[in-house]
Amino acid sequence: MSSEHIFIYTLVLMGLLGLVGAIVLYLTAKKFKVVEDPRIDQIEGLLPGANCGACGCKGCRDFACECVRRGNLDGLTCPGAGAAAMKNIASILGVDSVDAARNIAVLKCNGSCGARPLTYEYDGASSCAVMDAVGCGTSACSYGCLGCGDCVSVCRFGALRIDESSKLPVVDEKTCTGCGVCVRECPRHLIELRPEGRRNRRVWVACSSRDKGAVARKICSAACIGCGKCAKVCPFGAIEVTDNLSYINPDLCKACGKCLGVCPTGSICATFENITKDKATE
Amino acid sequence: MRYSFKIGGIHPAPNKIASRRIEIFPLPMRASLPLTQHIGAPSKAIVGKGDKVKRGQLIAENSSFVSAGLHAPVSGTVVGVEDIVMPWGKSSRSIVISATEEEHLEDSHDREKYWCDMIPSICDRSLSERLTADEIRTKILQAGIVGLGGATFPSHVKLSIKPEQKPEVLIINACECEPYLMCDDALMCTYPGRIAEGVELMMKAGGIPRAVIAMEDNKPEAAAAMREALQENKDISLRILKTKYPQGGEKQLVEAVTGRRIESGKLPLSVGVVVNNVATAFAVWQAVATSQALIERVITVTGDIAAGERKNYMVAIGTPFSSLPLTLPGEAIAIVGGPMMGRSAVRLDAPVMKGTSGLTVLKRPERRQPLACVRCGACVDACPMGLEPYLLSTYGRLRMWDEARENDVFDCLECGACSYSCPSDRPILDYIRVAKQRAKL
Amino acid sequence: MTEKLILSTTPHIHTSRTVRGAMLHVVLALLPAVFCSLYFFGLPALAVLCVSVAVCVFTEWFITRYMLRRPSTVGDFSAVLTGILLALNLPANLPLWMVAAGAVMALGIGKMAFGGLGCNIFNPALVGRVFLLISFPVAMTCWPLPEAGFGDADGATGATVLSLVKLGQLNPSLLPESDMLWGSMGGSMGEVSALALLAGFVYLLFLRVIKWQIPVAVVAGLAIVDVLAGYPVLYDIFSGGLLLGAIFMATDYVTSPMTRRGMIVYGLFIGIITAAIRRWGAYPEGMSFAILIMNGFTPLINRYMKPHRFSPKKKKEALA
Repeated sequence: MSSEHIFIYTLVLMGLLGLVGAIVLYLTAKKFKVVEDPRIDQIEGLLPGANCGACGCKGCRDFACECVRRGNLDGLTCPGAGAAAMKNIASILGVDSVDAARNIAVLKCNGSCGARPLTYEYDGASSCAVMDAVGCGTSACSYGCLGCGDCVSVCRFGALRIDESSKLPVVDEKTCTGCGVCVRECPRHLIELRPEGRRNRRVWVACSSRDKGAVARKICSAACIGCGKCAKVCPFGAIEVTDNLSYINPDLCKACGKCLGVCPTGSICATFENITKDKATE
Repeated sequence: MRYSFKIGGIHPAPNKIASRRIEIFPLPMRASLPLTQHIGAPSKAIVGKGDKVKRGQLIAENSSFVSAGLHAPVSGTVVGVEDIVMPWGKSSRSIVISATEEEHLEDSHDREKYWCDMIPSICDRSLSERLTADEIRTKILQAGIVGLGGATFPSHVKLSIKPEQKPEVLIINACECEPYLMCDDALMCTYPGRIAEGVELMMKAGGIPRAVIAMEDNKPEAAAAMREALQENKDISLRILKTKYPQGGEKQLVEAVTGRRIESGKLPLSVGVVVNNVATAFAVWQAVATSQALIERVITVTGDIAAGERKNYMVAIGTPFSSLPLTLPGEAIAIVGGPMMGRSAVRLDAPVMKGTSGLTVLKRPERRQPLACVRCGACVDACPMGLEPYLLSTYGRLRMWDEARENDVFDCLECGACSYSCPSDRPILDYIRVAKQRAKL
Repeated sequence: MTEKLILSTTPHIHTSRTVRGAMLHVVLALLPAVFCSLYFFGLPALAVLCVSVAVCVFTEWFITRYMLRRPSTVGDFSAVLTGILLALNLPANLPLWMVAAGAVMALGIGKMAFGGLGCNIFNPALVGRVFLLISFPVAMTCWPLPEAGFGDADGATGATVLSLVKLGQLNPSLLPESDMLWGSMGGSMGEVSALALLAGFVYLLFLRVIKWQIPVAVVAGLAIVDVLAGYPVLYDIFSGGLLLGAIFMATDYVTSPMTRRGMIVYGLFIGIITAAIRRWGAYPEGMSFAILIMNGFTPLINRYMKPHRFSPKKKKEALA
């Protein structure tokens, strides 16, 4: 048999094999085709695809299936997708969109390296969960941020990073979707989801220490000492002090910023410049 | 043949280097007593700021059945019920008592008399014959006795056994498998007869016909002392076990002594066994025979400190560690308990508690730089529960809680044999502990 | 207070055993075999050994330093060990550039491509050897005849006993076993002296660096097939790379199963596959292929061969 023959036979044989394979594939695809609501794929396309589980479903695909199955968006929101995407999903389903306030994660600790001296050295696995199980961590504060970045490693949107100088996690408010995975991860429950607020104005107490004022102050200069000045000055009654710790109720807070000016330790944080204080000094 | 548990185990250097004599350590002027010194519900304080208390007086009572009371270790005035920082840096609600010079002198005199009058070696069985099980149990409950081996489970709960549960044998855990620690050894050498009496009382209280005192073969003096005290006793026997960590783990001990295996999630009683620590037996005797509540215990102060400072002390509970004479060797790890399972302390102004078996001070080792796992299988070989620590640890690190659960992570007793044996110095146990916590949710 | 307390996690004490120590012990255990190969094959063997080790170490250093950009892991001696093992698997008269190529392949593809020590699936030294065997089959199967006394063995070359038997030119039952035990027969550098390898085995067992399960299971697996196929067992055990492979290559921590039960299964299959390749395969020797095949199955063995649990799951489920 000459070489040309072999060449031709090979071509023909391979071609035939390919043809048979294609026919089989075609027939199987036809026979086993699952008729699926096309809206599922549409909705899934709008979702971030991070499978964070914030919606309560097993993943983004599951969420899309659930939306289509129920036919409405009652109790179903994807914080990761954002308001615009939710509106689109609502229009795909043919229902009215529900306006859900966007939530953003904030850190309830302001114990940067300058404010809170690192008194102890830690020798063990570099994980907040491990460190919290062992003891207070590298500073004397047993409520504050441990700085190992467990929250950073679970964030699927890259919205958290550890700041080099303060050694505290920083939330990027543009990319934070308020999915709440970090909230569940923090062993000291230092991250809270707070509504974005009007004109992106948010005020919160950046401390979680329940130590007595004097003790907390000694450990960290940025600690809330539970003095209650903020509660007194708040015109909306949004602030409450329990267990030596002040808390600003986001539902009542109008982000006026009065409390910022009176806090003696500066443990209240805001996303805007403190106008009230400026006015007072003027 | 030497008795031992079968699966896994490691052989760390025993380092039993402290003196065996028990020194009575002076009472503190100020004692702090955390309300959570045991497993179960915290005790409920029944004294308030400014109250006068006498040594041995009940200051906090049981808040539920699985709980234990607290007694004042010194006479004095209650300074307050406040948050006290524990050795590891977290705070805990505690009763703080401050004594005056006068009260201190009087207490010290009473205490000296108490210990001098004690005849250590006689084993007198009349007490356990005279009292009923209920009476003994009530005394144990009133004395606030908890397991002194470290787990601090309230003893009256452990000894409240229904006859249909068929307790066959009481195992007295005197293994002290933790390296460095010697408090049980010292106690057995000093008060063997009283321990034997305590064991009799426990048997009576729990309706248990037989008792076995189990210890590792590295305590010949204690074994000799106990053997002498038990000479004519047919119900209590002595069992010498192989020195191997964790021989004193409850499940391991039951297997070593009886050959029975406790299924996961079950209590020793499921195989007819009750396990109690030897120091608990002594505390029971103290409570029943001398009516002294659990207000002091033996602790070992040992480690990389001067030879003269390595001692066993009888200290009042609530005494701050900082009052113990010891010089830290520069940068060090101070461990409340033994080096395998004890918690590392950063503050020594914290008090000695009921479950404190010692203070081990170790020179700071070179910083552990974890290398890659080479899959050598040392941790699998070491695990006394037959688990795969390398796998569980990875699951813990990668947050794979379901997989961890499937691989029996809850069987882990956190003995630390895996991390000890890892040639790559990986913090295996750290992540397993995280997995155990999180897999529950 | 000048004293400082460190917050540390339990346990606070650790074994003195290190990965580096284990690797060093294996290197020491290989020394008798290295010495024997130098004794029988002379200077060329030394050259092969040096090139192999040097290239292995350099490759690992280069890759960690310039490609992965992380601290070098050369200090753990695993590259040195791979180099020695690779050399012992090569004929002493192999051109040195081939040795170097094999070493680069072993470390680069066999180990570092997977992420370095602990991450590789296949035994690096064997990856190097198999690469050479497939690329340069002639050079790899042309063995110098051993010549006692550190001579310059550039003289006669020939095939190994195994290939002679395979070709039907030698009756295995006629071979004196003592020759194989001492090593006066052809083969790759490390295959020659069974006694030297066994000495290393005893050393490693004594120091508990390796466990007995794998080597014994390998030999047992081979013996089972041999008995069934009616071949002389002793000849099969002492010839070729079986002992070298069973003691030093199959027991590699990274690529062998974790549990003792798993190790027995793994070893048995290595023995069986080796015997099958030797009897019925195209190659005279199948040890390296057998080990590589079973390396691939190690994750599966780890998954199904669990250690004996203290309280087995079966009972738990029955109760639940």
